[in-house]
Amino acid sequence: MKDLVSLDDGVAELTLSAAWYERPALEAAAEVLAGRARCAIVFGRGGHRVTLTPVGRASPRTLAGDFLDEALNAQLRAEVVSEARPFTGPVLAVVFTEGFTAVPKDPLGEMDPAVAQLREDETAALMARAG
Amino acid sequence: MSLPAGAPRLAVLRTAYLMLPDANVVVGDERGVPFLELHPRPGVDASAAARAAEEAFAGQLGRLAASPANSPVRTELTRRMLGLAGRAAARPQAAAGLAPEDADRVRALLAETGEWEKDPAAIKTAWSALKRGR
Repeated sequence: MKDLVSLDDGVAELTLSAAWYERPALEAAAEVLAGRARCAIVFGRGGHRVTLTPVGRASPRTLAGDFLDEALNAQLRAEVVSEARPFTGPVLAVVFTEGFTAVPKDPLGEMDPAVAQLREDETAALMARAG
Repeated sequence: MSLPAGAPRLAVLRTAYLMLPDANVVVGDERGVPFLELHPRPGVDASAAARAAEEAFAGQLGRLAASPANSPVRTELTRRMLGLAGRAAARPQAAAGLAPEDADRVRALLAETGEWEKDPAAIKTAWSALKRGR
């Protein structure tokens, strides 16, 4: 079996199985290293190649460890969520249909049409940005 | 540490997860046979970590074996919980501790069937006027 983790020349290189690590998990792991390492990932059908180059004083060993921890954490979380979906779906359906009462109107907006208009404008601007 | 071919995927991943306090773990497979490569953290004995991983994997297999037997219980608990939650949401929530007329007023307010008072907090100056500096 070839080395899956190498720490040569101040750079950490990881070889991860595509069957066990999906793209979102590796992306989440890369995010955790933001500011501490430059992270290059080559996604392949059989395996992914990750190269971590320290920025500043972070050690390659620590970076590799943190990357592996977060990748595993994200992968397991995604699979547990996926497996629990038959349960969470019906629960969330009930919560969304019955669990909330109507939001009361904003008293300030009711008192002053200018406030209501201002908030409508703000909401429209936010929706436009989200959209 | 090699694991049996066809080992349940979640058992493998959960075993790796349980080992995180002791080691950084790479999950992989060699021709369909899954394995865990443990990189013990400083101060952790490698052989002890391997033994702990074997025990954790056995525990996970036991947990997965028991899970189908418990499924009807979990389903029934969830069903009852949803029923209770639905009833709680339908129950009037504003009446507790209030005089009947106040409870009616709050209930109407929450249902948005009542009339808003013109100035419920006795604020005489509108917010927009304050904002304009008047």
